[in-house]
Amino acid sequence: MPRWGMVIDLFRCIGCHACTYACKAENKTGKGVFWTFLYDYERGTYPNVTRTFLPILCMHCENTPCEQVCPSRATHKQADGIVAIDSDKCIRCKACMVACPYRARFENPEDAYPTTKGHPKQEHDTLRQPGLVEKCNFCKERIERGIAQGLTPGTEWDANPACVNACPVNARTFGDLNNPESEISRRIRSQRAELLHEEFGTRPSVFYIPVGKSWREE
Amino acid sequence: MGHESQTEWGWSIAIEIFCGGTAGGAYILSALPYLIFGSTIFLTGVVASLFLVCISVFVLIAESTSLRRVPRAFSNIKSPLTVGAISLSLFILFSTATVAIPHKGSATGALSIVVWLAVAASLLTIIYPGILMSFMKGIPLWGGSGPSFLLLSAALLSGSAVVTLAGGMGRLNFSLSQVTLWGLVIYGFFLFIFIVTGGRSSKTARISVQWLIKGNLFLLFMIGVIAMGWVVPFTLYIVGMVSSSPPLLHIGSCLILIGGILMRYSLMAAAVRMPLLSDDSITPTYWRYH
Repeated sequence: MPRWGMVIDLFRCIGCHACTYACKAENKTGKGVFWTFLYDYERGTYPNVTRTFLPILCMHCENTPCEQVCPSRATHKQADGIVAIDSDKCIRCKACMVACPYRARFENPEDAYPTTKGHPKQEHDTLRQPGLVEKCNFCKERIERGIAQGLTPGTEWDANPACVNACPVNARTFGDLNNPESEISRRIRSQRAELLHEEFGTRPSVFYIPVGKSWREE
Repeated sequence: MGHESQTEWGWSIAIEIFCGGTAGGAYILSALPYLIFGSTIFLTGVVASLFLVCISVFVLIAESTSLRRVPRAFSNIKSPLTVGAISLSLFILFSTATVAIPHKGSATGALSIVVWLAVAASLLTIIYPGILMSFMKGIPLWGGSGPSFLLLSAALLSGSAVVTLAGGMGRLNFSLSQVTLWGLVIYGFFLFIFIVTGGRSSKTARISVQWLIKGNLFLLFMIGVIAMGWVVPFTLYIVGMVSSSPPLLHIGSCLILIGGILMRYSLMAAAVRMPLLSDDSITPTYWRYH
């Protein structure tokens, strides 16, 4: 069984927000809802200043704090490692938003589908209601569609998450963490990718290749 | 390009935690004479606690904004929220039964069982928010057992204030005002410990404490929670007990309740999240987006 994950090379990331826009276009998220987003950090003081872009998305943790607090089991972990939300079960308590230490969850502030007359019908079959909590799901529909067509997620465009495809500098790599020969596994090993806030104990499936010194040394 | 952080928990959760905890405290103190001394249950206090817990449940349902989804809150027994939903439901059930069951004759055995069950449900109702807060790994201020002890002491204190206001003075065979005074001492102790330990832990927790004692939340916390919610009631209670002046005790009780709700909101508002990069990365640019 695959375990989907991602590795993000912070040295390559140029902060263009192509991933943010691609995600919004693919998933048609509402105003103020960002399933992936870039945080922009300045470090140091003049003249020794560096700038780091930190793409954040759902980490699809193995030890999911959001799933632990969800009273309705709307948040659940799939066998392939993707942490998904069942919108029909969400009771809008927002406990998962508070529990997520990576700020990856957002409350949908409005209908994701405009109701103005003449607007073309969207391809998604579920209308997302205001108040429901959303987050990145690794574009699981794309993955499932790709697998059904015999494609390999992580290597082929139509089976990749939209953010991975959109990145102009290939900072994001997606693939099967359980396959030691996959591109993602090789990158994690060779470039010593790390986890964000490993001390939380959440065991994320998203790895980062930090700029400069290791986060473990900070 | 930045984005505004969404508001997660605010006044509604503070009101829910306040009403639920106060209801639990009020019930325990109303039933205490019956459980310990075998005297009558202070039914006015029980009714007041029932009223408060119903407000708590109403606020929770209103927050959910969809009545048909509410039963799903009972689906995950491992979630503190589900435990809270169950405890609130049981508390309503058993406190209603406390009022409904005759207090004389053959029903006294059943009443005793119901009261003990209601006390257990009350304690769960008081404790579950602190347990829920300890699950939030990204908010250092809420870590550990500090919030649980603070909310427990606050709930018993505000419960005693409610019982006092409900006419507990002179109707009970133990000194409720002494209980409230001790409640103030214990609550003050846990509040002090909470602030001191928060101020000495991670940088993020220190920022939270600074917000409370000299930052954005200074007015709310230092004036509302500490001065109005603790110092003034403490003074009023001492003066009121020495001079045997019930009005002073009632005013003190009102201030305890106001301070209690402000304390719960302060806990919500002061919840600074751990920065995504190391603490050293907290710069003006960072704060623009958070």
